[in-house]
Amino acid sequence: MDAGRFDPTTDTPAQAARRRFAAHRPAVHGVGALAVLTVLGFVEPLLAGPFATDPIVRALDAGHTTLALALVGGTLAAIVGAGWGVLAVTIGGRAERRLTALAQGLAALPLALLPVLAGGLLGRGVDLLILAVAAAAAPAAALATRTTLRARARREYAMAARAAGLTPAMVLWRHTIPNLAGPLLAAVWPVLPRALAVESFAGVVGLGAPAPVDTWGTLIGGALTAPFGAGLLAPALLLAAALAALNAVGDGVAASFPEERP
Amino acid sequence: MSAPEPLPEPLLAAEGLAIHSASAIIVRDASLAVRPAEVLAITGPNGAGKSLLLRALAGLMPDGVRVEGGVHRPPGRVVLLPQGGPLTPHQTLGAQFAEVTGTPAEGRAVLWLERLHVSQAARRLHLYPHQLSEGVRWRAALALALAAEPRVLLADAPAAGLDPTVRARLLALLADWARETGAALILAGHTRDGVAGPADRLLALENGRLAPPPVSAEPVTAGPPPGGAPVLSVRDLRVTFPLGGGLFGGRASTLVAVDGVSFDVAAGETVALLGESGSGKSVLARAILRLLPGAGGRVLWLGRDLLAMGEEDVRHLRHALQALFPHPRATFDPRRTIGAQVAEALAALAPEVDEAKRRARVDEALADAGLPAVAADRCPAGLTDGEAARAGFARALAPAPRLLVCDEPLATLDATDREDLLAHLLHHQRADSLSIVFATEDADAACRIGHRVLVLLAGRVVEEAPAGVLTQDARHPYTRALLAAAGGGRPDLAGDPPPALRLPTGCAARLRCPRARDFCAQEAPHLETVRPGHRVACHYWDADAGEWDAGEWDAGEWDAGE
Repeated sequence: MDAGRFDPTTDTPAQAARRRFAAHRPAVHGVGALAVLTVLGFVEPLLAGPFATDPIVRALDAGHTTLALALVGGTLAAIVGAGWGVLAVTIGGRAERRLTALAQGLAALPLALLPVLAGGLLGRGVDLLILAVAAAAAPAAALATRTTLRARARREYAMAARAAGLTPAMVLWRHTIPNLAGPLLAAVWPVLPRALAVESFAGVVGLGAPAPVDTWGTLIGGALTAPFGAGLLAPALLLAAALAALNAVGDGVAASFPEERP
Repeated sequence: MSAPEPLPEPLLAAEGLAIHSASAIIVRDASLAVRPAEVLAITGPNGAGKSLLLRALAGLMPDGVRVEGGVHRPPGRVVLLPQGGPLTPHQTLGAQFAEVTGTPAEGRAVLWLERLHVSQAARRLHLYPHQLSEGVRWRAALALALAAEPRVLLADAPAAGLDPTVRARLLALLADWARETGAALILAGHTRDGVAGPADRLLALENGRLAPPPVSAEPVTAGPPPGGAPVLSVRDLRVTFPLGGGLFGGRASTLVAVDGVSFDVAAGETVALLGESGSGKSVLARAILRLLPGAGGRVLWLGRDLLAMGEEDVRHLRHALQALFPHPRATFDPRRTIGAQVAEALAALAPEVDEAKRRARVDEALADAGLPAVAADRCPAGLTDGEAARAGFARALAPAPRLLVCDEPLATLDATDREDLLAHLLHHQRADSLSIVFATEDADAACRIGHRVLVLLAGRVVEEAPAGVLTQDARHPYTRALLAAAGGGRPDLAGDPPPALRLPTGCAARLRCPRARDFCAQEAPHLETVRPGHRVACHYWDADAGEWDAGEWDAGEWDAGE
């Protein structure tokens, strides 16, 4: 796609990955959009005094909370999912098939309802919400991790490094992990937009973060009952922008680590 | 060999052909002509423009490529068989034949398939391409090309990737077809693809020029065999892989990859392991170095059993035991520079060498392998295949090993690089009395650089002899087939190799063997001595060559779809 920009004789793979990311324009715009949303969250308290009840100001105020919830829930899901996938591939054989089938079965369920169910059955709380969001996003991350590891399991360089006298631990830390880090990041990145979407859905149906905490989801949910849907537009647009930006950055990360040709 | 007098008019002729892409001239001023019943081979390194030349001859240029000069094509059909022999995935073979021949009649399709030795051809017409084994898929692709009844067939790397004995036989069948029907056949490919074997004439495409290949220098050969006590002794080595089973139960089985292999290597000696894919030569090479666990037997290095040692003890011996792998680029970490990786190996293998000396030794090793100094700062992606192979040599030879185990190190290389590196290897062998174990599927290379050759089939040694004896008087049909394939002849071994998990009872070669009798199915042959130093595992090794049934024989009965 942008192979012309990449000169293998002069670039290191890390430089090439940066170049590919920079060449992916939606991803760059996505990073910019996320930066703007974050900065606006800091600017908002200056406006808060006179306009504290203005829907736009409230939506900006909710931005940090929303993104933080998505980040924490998504990171948790990424860690669990990646661990799941790594475990499956490391054991291999029938156990791998079982673990993968389990992830596939879970991923096929409407997991977006999990935070709603948790909120409805167990009561509303931020900790519980984060756990439920992570549980909803983890199976897909496990599947992506396992697929990536299988596709990149060309371990000739690991065997050559062992023949060159390195200990298994040295091979793992110096060669295997650094080479898999980028592709794995690309594989699990989609948990972030997924976590944001799941958390917002719970908020919209009124079972998201509890009362004093505002997120875009709860703001949208509240606005739905207001006359003429007042205050709906600002949080809805910000949520849509954040989701699009996260997905675009994910595409850029994936494009930065293309499948190696043999 | 040559066309009959007077020379008939060429079927296909090109004069002053030039191929330009947007930024470069790929082929300049190429002229060629093929006459009826002639087989022409065009060889060249990667990216030389062989495929584009064939497409230009067929009149099928991709967008953005310009052709100048005239191509005279015959009024009949010119068929191009592209690289990889593609078949349409969503159609059965029968439907694809019907499309080519314009009639749904199956009889002719069956005839074409049988001509290329596809067994049970009628049944296979109802199968989809993914249900066919690689060997049958290639046969079907070639049969489809022939069914179009071309006047000129242009085949791009035909049957590349198949085992040499299967490929050589298929190419010979294609050449037979051309000579019988008076069609012209052009085979393009690497020299290692064996396209030169059945050809009447040879052209080489290099640096944009099409010309007869230069007369090659004397091929490198090993020196006289050294005497002396063995440094490496392999005894009854057995390597197995568990299949199925696992944490949650299930029926476990075992794949025996190497079974009861024994041999000795003296200082300065080369032992070649000759076999096709699945013969166990790669597994054997890795097991000798303890890169794979052995399931039985002993590997004695200077009297110490490597298989019985702890991991850490083996690691301390690795400076003396080095390895070369196939796909040299893949054996380097793509994220780090070549220099850093050679230095890393040296640091791990010879920790007593200090930093400054180590850097000097890395530079020296890279220069010795024929790499420019800038290569040290490049990542593997920045190297050509030849450079990557040289970097592999540099890394393996930098710690001054005493044994080098090579697993097809030259398989991806062009002919010139291959000869260069073989010469480099033999130079080191003479200078340092390096012992070499050299695994390859190329019988020619095995016999040229090996002092002794072990022929492996399905994990067992089926013949072992000094290289000179083997080239003169090979006794096993499999060895003879490998030698014939390497020499451009017609291997007398039918069908496709059986898959490793469905080996026949008795002798592993019997389904393809022209000598096979009922007894071969009952008992696996053991190694018997033909003469001192020459042993063969065949029940009928003393059958005279004249007794061989040269008739066509096909038992290739090994589909994925069955």
